[in-house]
Amino acid sequence: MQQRSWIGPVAVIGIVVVIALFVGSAYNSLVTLGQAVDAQWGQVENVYQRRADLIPNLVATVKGAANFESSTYEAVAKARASVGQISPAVVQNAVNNPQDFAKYAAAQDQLGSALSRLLAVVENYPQLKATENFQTLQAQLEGTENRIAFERRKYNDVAQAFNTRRDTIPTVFFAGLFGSKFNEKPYFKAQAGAEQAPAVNFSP
Amino acid sequence: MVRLRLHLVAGIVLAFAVRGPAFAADFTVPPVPTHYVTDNAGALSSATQTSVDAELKAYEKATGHQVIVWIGDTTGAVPLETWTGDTAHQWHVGRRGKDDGAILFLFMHDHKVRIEVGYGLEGSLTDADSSRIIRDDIVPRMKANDPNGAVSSGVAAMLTTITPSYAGVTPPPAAENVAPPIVSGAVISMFGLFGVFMLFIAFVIVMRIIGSIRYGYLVMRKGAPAAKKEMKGFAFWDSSGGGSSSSGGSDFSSSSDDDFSSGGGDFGGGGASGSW
Repeated sequence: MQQRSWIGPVAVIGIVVVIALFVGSAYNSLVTLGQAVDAQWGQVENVYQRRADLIPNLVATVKGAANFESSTYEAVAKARASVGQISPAVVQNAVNNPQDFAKYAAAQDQLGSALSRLLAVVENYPQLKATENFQTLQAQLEGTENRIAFERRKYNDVAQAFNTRRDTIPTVFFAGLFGSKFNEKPYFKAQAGAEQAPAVNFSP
Repeated sequence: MVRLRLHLVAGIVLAFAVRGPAFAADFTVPPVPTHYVTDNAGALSSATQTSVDAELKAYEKATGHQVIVWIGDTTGAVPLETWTGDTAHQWHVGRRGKDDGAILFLFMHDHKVRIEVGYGLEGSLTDADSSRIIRDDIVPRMKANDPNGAVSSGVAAMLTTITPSYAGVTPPPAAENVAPPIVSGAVISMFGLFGVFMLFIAFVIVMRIIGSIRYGYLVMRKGAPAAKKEMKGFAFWDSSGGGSSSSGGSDFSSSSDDDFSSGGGDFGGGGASGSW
């Protein structure tokens, strides 16, 4: 009979240990998935930066063409500037802050549509379009737009993996205990035409 | 409690609903090619197919870079870049970690061409390079109804762009291609002979267990005498049970030497498109 007296405490300790292990492994899985989201977000930032880096050259090239409509490249420069106004620290942390995320995505989308308007206007300038310099730029821009679409889709995938784990049992019970660390990750919404890189036509 | 339930509902809804912009499986990705040149549209002569295949195989031997050609009919309702990008991503052409693969896609019915470039080759085969190759080498020949010329000169241009020093046929051996030894001498001496011995014992035990499971399985399916007969050929190093799948890197030459098997490289949407 005396032996039974310590069974109770041992059972309690056992249960506590099991719960701790359980929470620990769920926590670790969220950390792992969160790191995948951060890494992919870095890729998204990279490809956006790549696009931004092409713009000065593009603007210089179209400016050189005779009486090119200035409003189009001014719109591009303006959109690029408004993307640049968002501080790098805010951008980096945007996956944990839906408002910042939406702001950044909207600014980038605006830049994207200003660029595609400019490329559409270039169609009216066959001489400019035929130059080696512009063709190179166009290929780079199209490649970059395609990379952006690609990395955004990859990002949505890893964000979804994180959110699914976060919002299902058992992680959902304690994910909120760690502050904003395990907030749901925001998604890129498909904008019209964003899934598809601009069409290329090499016919003369 | 209400909050908690909301979370649950959100989780369940998310798991099903947010598949919207999902990345994988919006369409059926074709199986990983087993040759360097795959012609599903019957566009190439067998001579071209053989010679380009051999060239790409020699190129991989020389440089380690995997470049392949895939010809189909159409991407259907899927946009070209989405189709080729997702396919390249899932095929894992190129070496793991180096991501040095490239794929030339042709779609005969769509009259479209795309070069997909792995992350690791984006510096040497830039979008502008791919675009130029498509414009100068491929599109004019496709327009002239010469797919053989288009593919062989397109591939040649890709290879010399990636590796300017590459001269074709008899390539110089590349130093970076030498695989590092799996276990170095230092590790073995540190580990000690005793450790190796213990590992061997563990290996034998595991194989015994697998063998007995297999035996039990065979008894269940075929009855004891047939199982005994079949087990005679079952040495403990026999691994006939597990078929190896080729994608995903580190495969230990699952098939014959002539075939292509992808090495685990990744793609990020680099390259260029064109149409004829």
